[in-house]
Amino acid sequence: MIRVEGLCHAFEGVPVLRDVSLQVPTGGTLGLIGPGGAGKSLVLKAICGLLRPDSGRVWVGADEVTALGERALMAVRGRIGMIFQNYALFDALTVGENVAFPLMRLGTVPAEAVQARVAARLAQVHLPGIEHLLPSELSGGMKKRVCLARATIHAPPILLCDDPTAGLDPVTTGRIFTLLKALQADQGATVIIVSHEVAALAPICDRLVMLRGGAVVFDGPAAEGARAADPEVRAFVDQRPVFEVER
Amino acid sequence: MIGLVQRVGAWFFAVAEVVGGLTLFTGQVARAALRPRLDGVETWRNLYRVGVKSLPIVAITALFAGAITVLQVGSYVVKLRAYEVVGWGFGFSVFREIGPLLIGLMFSGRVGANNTAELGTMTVTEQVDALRALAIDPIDYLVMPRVLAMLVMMALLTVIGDVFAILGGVVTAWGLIGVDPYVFWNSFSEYVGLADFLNGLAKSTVFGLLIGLVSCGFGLGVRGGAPGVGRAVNASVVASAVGIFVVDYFMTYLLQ
Repeated sequence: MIRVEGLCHAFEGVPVLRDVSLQVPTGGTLGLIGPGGAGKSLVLKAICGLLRPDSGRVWVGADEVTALGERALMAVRGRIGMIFQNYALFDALTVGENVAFPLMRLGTVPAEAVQARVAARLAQVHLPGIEHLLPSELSGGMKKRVCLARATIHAPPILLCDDPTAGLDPVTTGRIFTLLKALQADQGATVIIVSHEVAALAPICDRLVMLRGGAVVFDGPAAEGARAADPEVRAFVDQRPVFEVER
Repeated sequence: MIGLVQRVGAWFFAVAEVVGGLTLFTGQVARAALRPRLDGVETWRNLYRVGVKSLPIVAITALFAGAITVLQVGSYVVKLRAYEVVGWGFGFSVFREIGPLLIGLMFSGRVGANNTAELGTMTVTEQVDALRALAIDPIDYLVMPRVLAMLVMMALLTVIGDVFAILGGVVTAWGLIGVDPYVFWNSFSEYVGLADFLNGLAKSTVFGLLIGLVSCGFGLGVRGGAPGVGRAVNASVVASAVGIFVVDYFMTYLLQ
């Protein structure tokens, strides 16, 4: 289970997270939505321990992430796979080396089995035989799928996806969400997905949480979001252009 | 007057912030060095990149540094007919001072700047965060191999640079001021000892450590996207150069 309680954070005096609380049960899938700059990525970074919030607490399973030092956090991060908004693939390494990276570092899989595992995972994300390419030789959609392969190759029980479909065409977007759902079902992982593609996201999530101005403005099933009192929540969930929203 | 005080104060705080940040970073690296978990592939890659790829530029710099040193003293040597002290004067200044200093500055410009740019780019593109998210300490994986490579290679390159400097000095002394290589070598080997060589080697090792820490510290501390990377590279090269001269001053005083 992932539990976030009363998360607050400010950058140079400007509040970016205001009392954010949410919860994802083990094996559950949560969609985190909201306008740009709402603090969605920061919530993921706080869960992973990459951001030390000014106040509030975060639990990943029994571990209170916000109370752990950098060394102790390593053990928690070993259970998390994370997809970054801007790919964050290692430029100096090939696709194969990028995807193999978590396995090589964790040392949980024999070295001779790593290549086969990498090939299988790349085939699963519909990118077979590109191990030798460098990230700079890939398109945006391919990079996202390589990120997905890297984040999931060690079968982490928790998966944090920061806008895994940003800037992608609808077909690739659908393909990535299908892959995420398949991987979640396959591995039974607890998943949090940040995305603006609510129409594609909602069907694979148990619940949606919407942030606006760093605060939670909606937390519930997608169907409830479509009937929410807040017009911006309805617009987000229905994917209607904002000029149609009555204020 | 108030404006001047404000500017001086702002400059003082900016310098204090940089020095404080680098000191804390050095502490983190020192702590990591106590329980080294070096990545073999990354260490070899850096040893090659830092050492082998710097060899041509270091060789050329040292060759001409040796030649220029002899040229500078040439007219006095001829005037005073002091041919038998050319080797000693040359060896003393090149081994103890000019060699480590020039190679250190070249190394800072080539390797240090490159290192800051690479780590800075990794920072702004979230690659460093990705490492941490994969439960890998960037100090262990990125910094330690780089600092070690710079420390080791700076010392080795200084040894190689000394050889090329001697070559440049001998050829110039022979060709332009008529000092026989035998006389040059006799003077050199008689008066320049192991202590002079080790003095330069100690300096270059410390310079390598300094360049490694400064370039990694500035690289991992980048804020503000691509312009931030540019500023960090600039600051790293300036800080390394200033640091080299300050450390050189104190080491020269202590190792006299």
